[in-house]
Amino acid sequence: MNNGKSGNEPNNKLHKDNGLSGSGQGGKGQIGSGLSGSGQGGKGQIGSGMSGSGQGGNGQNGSGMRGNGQSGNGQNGSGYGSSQLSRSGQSGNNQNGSGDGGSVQGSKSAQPSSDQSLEQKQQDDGKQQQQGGKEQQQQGAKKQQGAQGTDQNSHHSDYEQNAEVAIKEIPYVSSTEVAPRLDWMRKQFDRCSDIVFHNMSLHAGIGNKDYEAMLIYTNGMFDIDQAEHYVLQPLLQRTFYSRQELSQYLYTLNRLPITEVRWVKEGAEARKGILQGHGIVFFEGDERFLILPFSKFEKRGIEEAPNETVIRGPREAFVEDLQTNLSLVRRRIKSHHLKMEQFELGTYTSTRVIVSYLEGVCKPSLIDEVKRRIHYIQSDGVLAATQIEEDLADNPTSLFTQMQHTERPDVVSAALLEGRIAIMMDNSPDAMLAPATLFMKMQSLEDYNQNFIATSFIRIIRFLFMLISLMLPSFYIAVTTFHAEILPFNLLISVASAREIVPFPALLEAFIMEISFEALREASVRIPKYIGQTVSIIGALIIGTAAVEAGIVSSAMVIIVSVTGVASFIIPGFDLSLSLRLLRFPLMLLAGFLGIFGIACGVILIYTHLLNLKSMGVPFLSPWTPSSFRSMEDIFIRSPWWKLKNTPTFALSGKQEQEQHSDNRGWAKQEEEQT
Amino acid sequence: MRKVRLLLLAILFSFLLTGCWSSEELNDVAFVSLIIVDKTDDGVEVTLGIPLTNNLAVGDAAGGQSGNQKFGYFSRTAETIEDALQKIQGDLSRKANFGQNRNIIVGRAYAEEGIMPLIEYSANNPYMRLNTNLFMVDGYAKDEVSKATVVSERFIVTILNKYVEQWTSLQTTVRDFLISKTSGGDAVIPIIKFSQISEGAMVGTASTVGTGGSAIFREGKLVEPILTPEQTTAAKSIRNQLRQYYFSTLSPVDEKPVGFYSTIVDVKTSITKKDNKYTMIVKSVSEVVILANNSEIDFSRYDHSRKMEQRIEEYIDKLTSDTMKVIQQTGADVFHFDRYFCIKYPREWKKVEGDWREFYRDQLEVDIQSVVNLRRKGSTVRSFNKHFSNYEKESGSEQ
Repeated sequence: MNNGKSGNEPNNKLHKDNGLSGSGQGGKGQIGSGLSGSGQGGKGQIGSGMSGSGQGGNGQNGSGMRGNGQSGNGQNGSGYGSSQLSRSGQSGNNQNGSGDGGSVQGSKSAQPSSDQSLEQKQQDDGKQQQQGGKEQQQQGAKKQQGAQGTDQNSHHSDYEQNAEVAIKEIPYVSSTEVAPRLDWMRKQFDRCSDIVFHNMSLHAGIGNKDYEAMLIYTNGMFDIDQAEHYVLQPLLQRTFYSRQELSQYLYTLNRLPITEVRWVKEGAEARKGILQGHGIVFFEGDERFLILPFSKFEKRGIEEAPNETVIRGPREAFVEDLQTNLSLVRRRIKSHHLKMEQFELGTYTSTRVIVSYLEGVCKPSLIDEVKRRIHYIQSDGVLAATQIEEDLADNPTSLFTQMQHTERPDVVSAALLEGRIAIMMDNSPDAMLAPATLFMKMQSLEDYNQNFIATSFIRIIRFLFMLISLMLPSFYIAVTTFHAEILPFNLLISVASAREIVPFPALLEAFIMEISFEALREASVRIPKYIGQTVSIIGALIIGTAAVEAGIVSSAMVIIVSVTGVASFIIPGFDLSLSLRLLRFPLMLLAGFLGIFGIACGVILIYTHLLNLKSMGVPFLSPWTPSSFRSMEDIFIRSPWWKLKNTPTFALSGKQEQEQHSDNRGWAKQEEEQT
Repeated sequence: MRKVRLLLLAILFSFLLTGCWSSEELNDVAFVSLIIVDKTDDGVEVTLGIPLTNNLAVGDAAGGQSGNQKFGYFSRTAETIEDALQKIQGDLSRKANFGQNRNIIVGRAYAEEGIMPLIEYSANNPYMRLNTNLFMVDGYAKDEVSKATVVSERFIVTILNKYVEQWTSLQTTVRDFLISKTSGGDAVIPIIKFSQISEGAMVGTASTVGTGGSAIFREGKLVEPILTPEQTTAAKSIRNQLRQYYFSTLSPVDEKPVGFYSTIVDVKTSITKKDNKYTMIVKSVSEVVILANNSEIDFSRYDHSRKMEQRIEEYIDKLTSDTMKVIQQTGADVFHFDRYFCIKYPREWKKVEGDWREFYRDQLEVDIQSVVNLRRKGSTVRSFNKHFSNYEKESGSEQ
């Protein structure tokens, strides 16, 4: 019964895998098994399936729900307590290995009371034993034997035993009756107090027994008003003289006055629908569930972007609801070529992730690459965008993030038009753009809403201050400690007299000031609004003035640290400014040890790293290197709109490059020709 | 994992360099700004002028009061310069650093004995600049300099630097002494004069700093005569260092003084052979502005302007050639004419190079040709005084 496949075959659609036949996949040689379950191996995701199945893997839970996962590294099976029981699985005692019900005592008492436990495990749900599975589990378990197993206590409470019973996955048996299905649903949502079970009976004509029907939904996520009006009312007011009529009414003829309904046969899909905020209706006589798509839940309204403010330009920002975000983007790009592909990641969270791109403009190889990388993501839960980003990044250990974050739909639209890919997630107001280069992170959308000459000037200042934020303290340290000859005489006297009172060497003084500045900055993020101003005044006074007067730091140092701090806020991309802030410290150390030579070494190392960095295959420093003059116009200066070509070169295939022509100022030429 | 370990190791090694290399705290270093070298009976006396930054500390409530000294002079005498420096270092609490030193002052006694050891020290020393300016004090340098009151600038060194920067004084650097082998050690060094002020001064000792004249050096030794300030101006102009100059001459019309302000634009030196004599030709083009006109000359008339220009040219030529004669008589090739000779007439140079200074003194002609352009004639083309004031009412006679 077990198809144990070895090899790392990822399986995204875990939740759908309720086949009776076990589709066990072995990840790293674990037991797949599982009756229904899809035991997975690999990183030990849900072992799932009913019988748990041992997963092994990196010791994650064996199972999501029940199952006991044994993990190769001796972690607990799942949090439900099955662990206790299952734990033993590691050693040869397979009792738990499997996990059915758990009444297994995880004993490490090595007796293969497997059979015994097996019988215990038999419960109404777990009909099939996996004896075969058992054996495989044994084998697998033996492999894991080496693993440090957690100690299996032979004593466990009744509570855990019950929990063990409850965790196992009950197989869904399709039927046309309401009762078994309802029973299954109730068992699934046992102790979930916000799931509502609504019983109703439909007219069947005089003299006939009424048809039972059930409406199940999640309170708080379901629009019950619409359901009452458009589902319950028509259903309850009609008389259905036969079951076929009802089936036809609902399913074949689609007579309910609502759109977007669908029907499913599997209990697990219906369950998923409930959890997503849709309601399900099922009734006697038909084995299908009808899923009603009225999900309505409280969400934040569209507000101004807190971190990316502009003076002139739209102020909308993304919210947590994915549908709203998608509509914000759609409003700006009204083309059928804008594709939004959906993935669901995370076994517990089932987070919807949308990969959107503009077909025809975006390179197909880029799209394929992104989709390929997303397929490998298997986590328990995907909550933050950073989880996806780290999984997709070319070089996750680099200090520089390779994707750009934004919370503004106009930035996303502009990026899509450039041929980039936007990745949006449920419950996350940040969209990620790939590929991202360093120069894209240095651009602010405000640039495009202003005069191009002014913008070019501001961009040049931005780059200058980027260098200042990285190198100014190190430069000061290097020059005053190693190369005092290059300072003009008056400046040198001023600096030297300022530093007379300071008891620390220059490097230490710089470190003290920089670290207090970082502490101040971090603290100000968490300060409640009402005392924020007071604290900033205190910070300025204490760290600035009083420290100088007390003779702890010199005034020149305070100036340098403030200029550096201001410079680091000029960078539009927050993650980029964070990286540079961090890099300042090693550079200061190098400057203190080796002078300007040290700074040169550090800068060369950083630059080399940046040169090798790739974001989705695109070099991180393009178009600076490999140089392409046509794209340079958008980095240091901003050429006016009529001069900018449409797409940056890296996003184009060869054929598309030749097609770039458009001249928005053609009317001027026309006038010239006329005169 | 391996890479991380290697990286850690590399970082750890870098910590071994703490305190090594050439790292010096700013406040452990004394930046020598001025070197004064003089000769006493016991040998060479070296004085280092160092700004005292501890008294200049900002941020402290009490700092920079008149009681505190801002610039300190540390002086020692020894046989050689190096010995003296070692003794001075023994006095200093910080390590002496010559990286900021731009000025050297020599006293008369040392100049007469010969300053070549000092030049050698400055040139060969890798920690000292080659473009250090040289000045001379006609007297006992240490006393005069250390007791001077510095009024217009923060330090005396700033005054000296600014003299050179603003082309107020002649600039001679160590490099100028060594620029040519044959005429090495010949140069003209500006003199710093300290004049007594009679009011607001400490009793009898205070003096202010000024420029005045220059001294001619031949083979590192001072030779007479000392050039006057006007002759120094001429010397500056030959070296193309004259930028602005106030002077007055008599007008050709009625021999009354007219005041001018001239900026020399260009001075070109070249060598030719005329009538079998080697001649240095010094051509200068000046632009002159009229400041005051006390004569009847009317500059709206071209012939008057032209005559005035000729007068000025004569004046300049005379001054310069007189100065040149004085310098030439000493046999000190302070303008390094041998370089021009050597480049243009290499074969003849081989014959002459052995006794170049005699050749220079006796056989080299120097021809000064100046061209003066009277650019601006002032606010009016005629004398304000004569034309508009009530004094001596005349209606501008034509002559």
